[in-house]
Amino acid sequence: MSERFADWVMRRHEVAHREIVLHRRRIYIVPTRFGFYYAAMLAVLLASAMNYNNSMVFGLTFLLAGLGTNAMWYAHRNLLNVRVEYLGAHPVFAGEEARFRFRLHNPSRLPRVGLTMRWRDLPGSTTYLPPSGVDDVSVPVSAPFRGRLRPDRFLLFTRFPFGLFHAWSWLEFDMTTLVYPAPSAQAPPPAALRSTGKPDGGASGPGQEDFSGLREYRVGDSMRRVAWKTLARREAPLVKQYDGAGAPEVWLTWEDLQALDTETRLSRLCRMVLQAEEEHLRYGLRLPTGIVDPGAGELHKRACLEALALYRGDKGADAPGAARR
Amino acid sequence: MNDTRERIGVRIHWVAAIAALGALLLAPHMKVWITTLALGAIALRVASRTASPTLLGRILTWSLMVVGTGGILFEHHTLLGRGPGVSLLVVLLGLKTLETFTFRDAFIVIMMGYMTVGAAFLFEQDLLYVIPGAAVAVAVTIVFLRLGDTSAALSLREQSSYALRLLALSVPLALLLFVLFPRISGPMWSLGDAAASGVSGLSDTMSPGRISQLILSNEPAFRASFEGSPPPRELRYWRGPVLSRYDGRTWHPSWWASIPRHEPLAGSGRLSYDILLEPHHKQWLLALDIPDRAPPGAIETQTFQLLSIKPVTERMRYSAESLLDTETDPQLPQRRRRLNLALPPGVAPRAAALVSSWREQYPTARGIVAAALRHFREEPFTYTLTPPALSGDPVDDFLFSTRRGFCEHFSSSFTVLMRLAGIPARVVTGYQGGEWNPIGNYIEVRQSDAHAWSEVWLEGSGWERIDPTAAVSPERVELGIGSTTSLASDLPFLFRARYGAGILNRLRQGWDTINYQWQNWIVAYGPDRQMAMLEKLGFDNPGWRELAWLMALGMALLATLLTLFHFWRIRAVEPVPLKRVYVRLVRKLTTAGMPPGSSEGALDFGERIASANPGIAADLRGITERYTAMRYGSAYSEENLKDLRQRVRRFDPNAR
Repeated sequence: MSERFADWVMRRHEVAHREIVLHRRRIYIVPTRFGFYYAAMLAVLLASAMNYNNSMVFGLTFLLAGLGTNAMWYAHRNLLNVRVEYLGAHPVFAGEEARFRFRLHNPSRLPRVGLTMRWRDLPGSTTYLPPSGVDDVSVPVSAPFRGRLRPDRFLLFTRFPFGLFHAWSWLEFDMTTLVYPAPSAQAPPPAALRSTGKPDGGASGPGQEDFSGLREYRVGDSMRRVAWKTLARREAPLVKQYDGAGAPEVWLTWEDLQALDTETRLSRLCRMVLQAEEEHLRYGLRLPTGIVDPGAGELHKRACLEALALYRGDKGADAPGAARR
Repeated sequence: MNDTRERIGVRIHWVAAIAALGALLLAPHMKVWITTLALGAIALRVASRTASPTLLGRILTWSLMVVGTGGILFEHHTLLGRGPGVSLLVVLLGLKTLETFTFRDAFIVIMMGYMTVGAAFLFEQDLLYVIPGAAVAVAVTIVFLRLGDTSAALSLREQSSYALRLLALSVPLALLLFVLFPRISGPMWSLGDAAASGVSGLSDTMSPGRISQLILSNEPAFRASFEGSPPPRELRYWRGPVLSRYDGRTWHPSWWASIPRHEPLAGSGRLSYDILLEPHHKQWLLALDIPDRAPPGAIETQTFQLLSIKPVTERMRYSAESLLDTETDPQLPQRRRRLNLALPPGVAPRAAALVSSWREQYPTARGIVAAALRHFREEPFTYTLTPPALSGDPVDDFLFSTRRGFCEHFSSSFTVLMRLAGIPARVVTGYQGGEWNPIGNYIEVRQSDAHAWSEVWLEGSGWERIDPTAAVSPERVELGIGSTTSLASDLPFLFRARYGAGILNRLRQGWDTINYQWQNWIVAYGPDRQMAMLEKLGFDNPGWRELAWLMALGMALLATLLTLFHFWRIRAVEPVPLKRVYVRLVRKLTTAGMPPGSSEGALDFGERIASANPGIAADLRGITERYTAMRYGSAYSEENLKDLRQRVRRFDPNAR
């Protein structure tokens, strides 16, 4: 489908936040290449019926014409009123494929057969919705660059029942996922990692950090200390407090990686974060734009990676590939 | 078929199955080697189990292609026309199946499968053959849908039901187009296959033994439906070719037999009827003796025959009128008198001697006719389907030695006798009798009703029909061929059953009625029927433009109806049982004095009641949570529904 047509179509519809219902005006339909072949076959049959004045061949031709027409209705109604709900997407590393998850709802008493959802030319996900049923699809989206990935329109289409018609709808959601820098293959040796910390900083084993409790959030608290899980139940966030302030720390620092360009540095730092986490170190991240206080654990790792993903260069220029389209 | 180049995998079995069905459907009309080639290729594809094309396979396919095309060219000298064209289709169907690896290939096989059904109808439109054709079309549609089910979520049964439903939904549109699509008479271009061979039927010459072969054929010749009651059996002489030239053995038509005649006949006993004639690839149209006025596209000849302008290559329907009692040719011009008296020199000397004795005895022509008929009746002549071969002069040999013969023997020798006596006479071939079908109100005439009789020209009354066979075997004329007891053992079983009153006969007649209606309304639906139908609907002689408008209007109406139907079918509904359960909960609460607000959602309502009534809060919250999860989330299932129903049933809104 031509890009210009797609753009025109997308201007007609608002970008959805969470869900889209496929109303009549959202669904488009054209014959496929097979549809044209089928029409050609009908023409041959009709010609022979007329030539031989053969009523039965006329009958067959008209029946098959009716079949093709009804296939068009079937393809169209196969999408009609389907509700597409955006579930979410996990962050990925640049170069991987992000998987956006959707839930398709079938509000009618007839099943929906052979619905495929995909993004651009990547192989999509094909599903079947039982009567009044739902199914989840996970649609791969390529994430070549770090930053915030906001995929453009998704394509939801069907060619059921015969593949003669291609009925589709373009869906665009206001949604993003994080793309971390690709971790560089070359990992600095652990020793180098450690040396960047305080001179007396030794390795800190697991469980070094003693969780002592929660307190109300105060302005200035590090975001990574927020107890996110409690946020769902309360209006004000809580912040985790830790004992053992003297635990050994490792600093992963931007300045240590001079003579490299920005992206390579970020890749290196990303690898370091992963490695430090894997070795159960207590680590902090120091970037020209900000500092992530030392810590450990999955949430801490994510905070570091997020900082790397969203890092904007010294000149304040946009990170490459961020917020596409 | 998301990606048309996707490999077909094990679904090849389904594709191969319908390809084989298509080839088998056409097998009766194909040379054995063609069907064998196609089925062999299909079997080879199934057996080979290769998932992708191989060089060897490609070479094999192309060599078979060359062999197949060469063979068809060798037999037909062309690839155009019905016979060679359909042969080519069968060969291509087999070979395409052999190289089917992707969905795109399979799609081509599907299309060819549909075309085999159309091709089969080109050969045979009888109801009996339409049923297998329709079955193949249904099978092809099921496989078509099976390939289209990309989610592979439907069972074969569901796929079949989808296919059948789609076909059923196609019927209204098909009917509309069938009735209104403009029909043109005659072929648009000739493909040179009019001269079909081996079609059984009357021939335009008559020599001993010809008709008796026809008698053994149970094929229908034509059917005639009358507006009123049909003529009695002894008057059902269906006039076909009139033969006036005799060469000593064989009778031929004279040139008069194709000269048009324009004067209407006078007389009584006028009958109107419709005839549905099976194709016989000749020009004559059968009509009740004597036809008056030719249907459109036909002429009436000087010998009172109806001749179509074009050979009858398709089943043909026409209306005719006949006079049962009329005087034809009151004056016979000299040339035609001579034509109807001509005999080769020295023919039948013994018969000539017999005739001269009659001439002495009987002064009038009528007297001689009566004498000849009496001769056939009183001498030991036998009516038989298996007459002995005649040697020498066939008339003499039959009249004086063998005396065993069939209608062509009797009519031929009687006509020769008349000519020897100086009475103008000729042979008329056609059919006699036919069976009245009381279920369908028509007369059914089969090839076995073929007959030959004589006409003599008598001064003052013109041509008169004389049936010498009736003199020997009156039952033949009065009751039909199946009743002539001496013949019964020679006839196939069905003939004997035909004239009985048994249940078998009833069934056969019932089937024939359905088939007749089928032929009459569906198969014979052409330009004439279309016009008649439209006139009945109130359109006076509609032209192309009116037809096109009518068709467009009908299609628009139908499209609207179908659109509404499909939108109605797919409308968004809550799962009914779930809704019912929730309604029950609301009713319980309302009865207990806790009605929902007018715009209150399930969650808000539940939460409001729960926080106000701590006694039932836990139960109500559980129910509301489950209901919303099923209604708006993905939790809907039979089990959860059952659980929810139980919770609602046990829920007591007055609990403290």
